[in-house]
Amino acid sequence: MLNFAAGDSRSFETLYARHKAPLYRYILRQVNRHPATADEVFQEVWSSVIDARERYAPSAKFTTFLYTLAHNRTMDHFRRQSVRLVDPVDCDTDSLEGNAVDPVRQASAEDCIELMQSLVQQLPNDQRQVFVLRQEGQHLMEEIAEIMASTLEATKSRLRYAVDKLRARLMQEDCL
Amino acid sequence: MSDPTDQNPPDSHSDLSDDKDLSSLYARGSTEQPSDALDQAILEKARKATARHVARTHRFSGWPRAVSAAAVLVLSVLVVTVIHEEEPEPLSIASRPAVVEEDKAATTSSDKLPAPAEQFAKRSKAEAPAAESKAPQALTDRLALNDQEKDQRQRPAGKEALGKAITAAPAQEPMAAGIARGDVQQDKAAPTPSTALPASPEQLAERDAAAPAAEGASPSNTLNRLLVQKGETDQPSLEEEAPRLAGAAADTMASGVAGSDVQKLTSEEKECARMPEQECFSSAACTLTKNQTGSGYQCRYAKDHCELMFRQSEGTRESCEAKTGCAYVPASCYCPPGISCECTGGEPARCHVNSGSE
Repeated sequence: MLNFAAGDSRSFETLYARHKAPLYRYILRQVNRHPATADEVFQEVWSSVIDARERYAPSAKFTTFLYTLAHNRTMDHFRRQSVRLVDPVDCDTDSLEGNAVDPVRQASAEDCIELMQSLVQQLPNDQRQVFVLRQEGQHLMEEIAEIMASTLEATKSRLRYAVDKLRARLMQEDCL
Repeated sequence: MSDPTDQNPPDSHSDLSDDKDLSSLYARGSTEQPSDALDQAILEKARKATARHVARTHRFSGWPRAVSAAAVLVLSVLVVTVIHEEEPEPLSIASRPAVVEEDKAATTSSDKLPAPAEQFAKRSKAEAPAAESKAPQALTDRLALNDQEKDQRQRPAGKEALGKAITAAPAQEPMAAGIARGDVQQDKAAPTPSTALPASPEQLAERDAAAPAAEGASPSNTLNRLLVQKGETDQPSLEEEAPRLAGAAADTMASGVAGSDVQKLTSEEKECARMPEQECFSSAACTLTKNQTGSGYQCRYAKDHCELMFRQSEGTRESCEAKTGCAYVPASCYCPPGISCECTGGEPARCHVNSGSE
């Protein structure tokens, strides 16, 4: 990032190639897998990175900086759309619903993958964010807490809830 | 968007090592990528931003260099200007526009006159009467200006008196004005003010002896200056040189040229030596004489008040002998350069100190 700020465009290409896919998926998960919206937010995030290159101070990891931008842009997007983030399932519910696999036949790998994607989207918003950040960015819990402007304990709790829900449902379908 | 799990975490551990199977299943389904068009759009934006940054950096990196160069140039010009202004301007022939103009007029007229020196002189004078009256005035004004500048530097306290003296000097008597403005300046501050000219070296010495009290530590009397200057440039002892220099000072004072100007003029003897024959012949400060070897001419600085301000090209007996103690010697078969004459190789006209009066 510092090289890019100094005028090296190839540094940006390297940076982009390294982070584009996980970031895109993170955004895609946040916008309910809506590709057009994901593209828009994704482009806004990278534009912010480009515009902020001269102000960038390496006080934290670049991934923390990048995903914080992504988190904020996603929130901005929802505000612009006047969309209230409503959890797809009741937060108090410990179980997730999904397209159940036909009990007659054994669940195939593809079915489990599809079920997994569906279950992730059904997670409460905060839990989904923590889970996706953990899976896509391989962030430490402290970094996730910083990105979401939350406490470490709350972040850990959200992740554990998400994992437990997913595990329970996937085990129920013999996917684990 | 509050989450009840925030307050009551079911499990405080954050290690997902036991969730590898879950992560693996998630990773197998996470294959989405941004489109190529999106990639290109973002990369293009980055390239443009980088290009702008580089251009701006280059523009601003060259800017201080250009400013530095300009500043150095301006400062150099300023320093040279200041040095040039503070330096006492030598009374050079080239720095006297009026004199040069007159010389040029004389030169031009000489080209048209295939006549001997006497006729040449008469015609030159007839063709340039304005220059004749203007040149001595310009030279005197120049001397006055030089002396004023020098005195202002040496005696800041005497500025007002100096100004008064210059203002009081009548325009019709430039030489007297030069005296009043120059060395007589110290007379105004002396116990016995006097505007009369010192008639002899002895009077000059007496006046200078009385001056230090008013002048402070500045030993700027004419005789001393001449002695000091002579001592710096020539090896002969001061005792040997003093009588001659005192006489020169007296002559100079009598002719209306301040001693301090003599000091400046004498430094330009070399200019006379380098001067071409025609220019020397028309010069008011240099005198053209025949070489002692008998062939050719030499140009030297006017050695006394008679030669000073006497232009051999146009000087007449009247103008020479109007000066005290001066005698006119007409040209003897002298022919100025560029003019064909029947007789040539002799001495040009001269105005020299009358030996009888010395």
